[in-house]
Amino acid sequence: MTTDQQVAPDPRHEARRPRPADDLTVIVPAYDEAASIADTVRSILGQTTPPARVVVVDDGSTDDTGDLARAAGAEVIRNHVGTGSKAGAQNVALADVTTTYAMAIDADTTLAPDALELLMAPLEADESVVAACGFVVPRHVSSVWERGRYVEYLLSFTFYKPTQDYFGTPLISSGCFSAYRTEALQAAGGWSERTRAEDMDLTWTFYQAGHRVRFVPEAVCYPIEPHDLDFMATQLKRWSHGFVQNVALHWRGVLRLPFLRTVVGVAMFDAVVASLVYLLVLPLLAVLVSPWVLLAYVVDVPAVLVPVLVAARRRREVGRALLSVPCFLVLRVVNGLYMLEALVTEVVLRRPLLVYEKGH
Amino acid sequence: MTAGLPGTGLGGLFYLVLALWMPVHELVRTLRGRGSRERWRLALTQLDIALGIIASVVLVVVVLTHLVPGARGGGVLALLAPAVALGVLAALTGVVALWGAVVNRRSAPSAA
Repeated sequence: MTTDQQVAPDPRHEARRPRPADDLTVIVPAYDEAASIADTVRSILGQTTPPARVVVVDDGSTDDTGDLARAAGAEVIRNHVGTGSKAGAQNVALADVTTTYAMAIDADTTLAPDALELLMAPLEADESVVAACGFVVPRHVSSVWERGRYVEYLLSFTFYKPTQDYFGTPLISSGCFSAYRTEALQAAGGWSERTRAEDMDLTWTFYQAGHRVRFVPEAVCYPIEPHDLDFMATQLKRWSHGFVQNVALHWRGVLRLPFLRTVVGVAMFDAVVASLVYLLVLPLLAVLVSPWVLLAYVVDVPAVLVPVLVAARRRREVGRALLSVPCFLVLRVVNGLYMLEALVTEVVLRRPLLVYEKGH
Repeated sequence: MTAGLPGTGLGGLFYLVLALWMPVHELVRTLRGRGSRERWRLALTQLDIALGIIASVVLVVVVLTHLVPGARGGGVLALLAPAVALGVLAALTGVVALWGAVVNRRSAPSAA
C-alpha cells in the first residue's frame, strides 16, 4: 500500500501572498467625533486584512477627536482651520496618499471584521473597476428615525442596489464606506465640494469617464444614523439638495449613459411625485372624496416587507424589522417634505445649499 | 425608492420589472457563452423577491376589495392601476431615452 505524503510548507519560509489591503490607505474625515472615532479606528485596524495606513483628518475639531484617534492607532492630520466639509477633509489626506487604493470611511462608522477584505476583491479582480461600496446597516436601531432608516437601508441594499449592480451601474458609491483606485480618484480631482452629495458626484463622474463601480453586499458597515428629528432633518436636507444639485450638474453626461439616465430619471420623477402625493394629494382626497384614501399611505407595506424580511432573515433580525416598518412610513413622508423644499429652493428660487451641515 | 429619496412605488415597479427581466437577460448571456454562476445566483434571488412582491400586491388587492366599502367592483381598477403605472413608467423611460438620443446626436462630431 502506498500513501501520498504531503509535506506541509514551513511557515518560516512561506512568503505571504500580497493582499490589496497592503496597498490601501483608509481616510477618515472627522469633526468633533470624540464619541465614536476610537471605535472606528479600532474596527479598521482589527480587520482580517488591515490596511497599510489609517489616516484620520481632524478637521478643526473642538474636542479630543485627534488625540483619541492617535491613541487608537491612526495617523492624524490636524487641520486647525477646518475645511468645513467632509469632501474637503478627505482631499487633505488624499494629497498624501501614495498607495494604489484609497478608502473613505465616516468617523462614526464601524466595519464587520471582513468588510475591508471583501470590498477590495472587485477592485483587485478587474482593472476597469475604480470604486466599490458595501452594505450599510445602522449601528443603533432604537429611535423612530433610526428604525425608519434601518428599513430603508434593508429595502434599498437588498432589492434596488443589487439590481443596479447586476446592470453595472450602482446609483451611488456610498460615502460612508467606499474603496477607490487612487489614480482614478485623483484624476477625478478627488471629492468635489461643488455639491452637498460628494459621493454621488464622484460616482457619476466615474461613469462619465467610462469607469466601473461595484456594489459588494457581503461587505457590511455600521454607521451611526440620526437619532432625532433635528439630525435627521439636517441629513435629509443635505441629501435632497445634493441629489437635485447632482442632477443639475451632470444631466448632460448622465443622458449619454442609458442605464444611469433611466435610473436617475425614474428616481427624480418618483421623488417629486411621491412628495406631492404624500403631502398634498392624499390629504386633499381624504377630505374631498373618502377617508379610505388614507390607506394609500400604507397600501404598499406588504410589498416593502418582502425584500426587507429577506434581508432581516439573513441577519436574524426579523422581529426588529417588523417593529421598524411603521417608522419607515413616517420617515418617507418627512423625506418628501425635504425633497420638495430642495426642489423649490434649488430649482425655483435658485438658492443652492452651499453650507455642509453635519447630520451624522 | 433609493435610500434618502422618497418614492411612490413607481421606482419600486421599475426595479420589479428589471428583476423579472434579469433571468431572461442572464439566459441570453449564458447562450452567448458569457454567463456566470454568481450572476445567475443574483438574478434568481432578485426574481424570487420580485415574485414575492407580486404575490403580496395581489394579496393586498384581494383584502382591500373585501374590506373597503364600495370596493367590491374594484376588480377592474385593480387591474387598471398596475397597467397605468406600467404605462407611465414606459412613457418616462421612453422620454428619457429620446432625450438621451437627442443629446448624443447634438454632441456627436459632425461629418465634414
